[in-house]
Formats: sequence, structure tokens, C-alpha cells
Amino acid sequence: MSKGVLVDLSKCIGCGSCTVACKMYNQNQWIEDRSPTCGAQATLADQNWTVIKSFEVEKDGKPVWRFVKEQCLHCREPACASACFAKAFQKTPEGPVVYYPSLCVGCRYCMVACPFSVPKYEWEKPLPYVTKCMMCASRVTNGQAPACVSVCPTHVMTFGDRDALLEQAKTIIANNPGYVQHIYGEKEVGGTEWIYISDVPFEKLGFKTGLTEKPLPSYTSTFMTYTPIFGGAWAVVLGGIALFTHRKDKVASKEKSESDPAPRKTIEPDERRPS
Amino acid sequence: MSARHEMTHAGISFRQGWRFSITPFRLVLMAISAISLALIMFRLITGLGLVTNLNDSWPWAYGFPLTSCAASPWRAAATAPP
Repeated sequence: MSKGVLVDLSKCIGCGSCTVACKMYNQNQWIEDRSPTCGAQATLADQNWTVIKSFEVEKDGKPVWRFVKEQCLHCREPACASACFAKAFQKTPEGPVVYYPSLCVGCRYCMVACPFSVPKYEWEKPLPYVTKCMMCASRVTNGQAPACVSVCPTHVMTFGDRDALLEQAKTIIANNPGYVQHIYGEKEVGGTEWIYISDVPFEKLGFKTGLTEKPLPSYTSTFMTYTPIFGGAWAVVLGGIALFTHRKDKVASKEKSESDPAPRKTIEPDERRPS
Repeated sequence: MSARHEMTHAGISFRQGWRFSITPFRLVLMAISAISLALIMFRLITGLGLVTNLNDSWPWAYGFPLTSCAASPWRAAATAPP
């Protein structure tokens, strides 16, 4: 049973406590001049594993503020882990998708593969790594909520079993007509551990809508699973050809030595050129 | 270019062996090596972002010919606001 987080965007006041908790727990630097953590310009970056992005939208004819917490959504079948040939991204049974820097070769395929543009790169470091939210995996393994969830003063986020949270979200939006009748992350790209409910349409809040409900790795896994088999078969074919050609040479030289038993004079490397 | 007779373990003597004549082609090669070394040092100091002209919203492809040009439609597509 994997863990997840339910985010109720209608409760967020945009205080940014979660971004501070994230920086402190993960010992990330503040890079506000380059990538702010809060506000309309907030962007995920190598040091920003979660941000609060503010949106000014219209609701019931009045302008309102809404604040969206962005971080890795921890897909149930992550495309980043599928694209990574070094196994630097691994899905844990508890839910978090964890990144192992010691395995990473820095190819950035994960950044291209991720449908939510979550993995970021240390473009300014001499020896760069990829970075992203890891859902405080060690805390989750011990049954604790991620750092950002635990500090939220307005209880925007609920940590728990993902299936139970999904039922809870369904109950909330069914009993409150003010909510958008959609749970973001329930089915997107095969489902994510972090799920969102909102009272403002998701497409107005920077969410990528219209995503497939098919898990992204399923597009490639059907033929990528044959890669080792293909490699093995190809080795057998090439090995067979090599054996055949060498046998031909061996037979030819044997026939030659039988017809001409005098040993050929070989030239030692040192005798080639007098010094 | 042969050093095989005078090479010893303790002190390497090149009395008889090494010759390295400078030809125009070798000068060109040395210039390329010098530029490459400078670029390597520059990349290690500034990081990959400045050298490749790539960033988080455009993390792949060879950055310079297509995307360093401001009018490039690729660049426009990559950096356009959603």
C-alpha cells in the first residue's frame, strides 16, 4: 500500500512554510534572485524542490488569488525511472520516487521524460547532478509525513494511504459543489501519489491537463524489454560468423603448411628499422 | 621517434631516441588542443549551462546552432509562456 498526499488547493494561503521546511530538511540553498520559491514567478529549480506559485484568477465574477504547491507528483509508474538507464530513479514500495546521485550519469533523459518537468539540473555546478523532490522518503518509510506536509498551518495537505486519500477526495468533491469535479493525479499518466482537488479549474492554475491516462512507461516497455534478448541474440549471431571465418582461415593455413613445410621467416619488430 | 635502447627504469635517457619536429599540421593540432583545454577549464568553472546554452526548460539537444539564435522557432517554442 503506497503512501500519498492529498492537496486541497482551496485551503492554501500561500504562506510558503512548506518551501522553507523543504529547504531546511533537504539543506537546499536559497536562490531567490534566480528562481523564487513563492509568487507568480516561482519555479522549480535545482535548489527549489517545492514552490508555491500564485495565480490571479476569476471566480464567480471576482478576481481571487490561488496558490499552487508544485513538487514531484511521484507517479505510480514514473517515466523518469523508465527513461533512466542507470537506475538512478527508483520507485519505492512506500510511494516516493527516489533519485540516487551516485548512480546518475548526468544524461538528463529523465528531464525530457517527465510529463510534469519536475527533475532539474545543476547547470552551474562543475560536476552537476539532477535534483528533485523525493517526498522525504526516509520520513515516509518511518510512517512520518514529508517535511512540507508536517508544517502546513492551514492543513492544505493530508498524508496517508493513497487509496484512502482518494476516497476522501471523492467524498469532499461530491459533497461540495464548489469544487471542480476532478481529482488531478487520480488517473493522469496512470495515477500519481500526490493528488489535488481545487475550486478553480486546474488548467487556470498551471496544471497540465489533457494528459493520457496510460502510464507513460507502457508506451516503450513492450519493445524495450526485448533489448537484452536482442543483444544476446546478436552476440550469438556475430560469434557464429566469427567462428566460421576463423575456421576458414585455420583450414587454409593448415592446408598451406602441409603443402609447404618450410617455416616462414618472421621479422621481429626490432629488426624492422635499424637504429 | 624511437627511444627503446636508452630507456631505463630509474632515469629515462632520451639521448638517442625522441625527436619531435614541429610541422605546420602539428601546430594546428596544438592550437586545437590549447583551445579545447581552455574550454574544458571554462566549463569546469562556470558549469554546463553557460557552455551548452541549455537550461531546465530546454535540457537536451545541441544548443548552439538552433537555439542560440533569438529568432529560432525552436527557441521560441521552448521558452514561450504556456
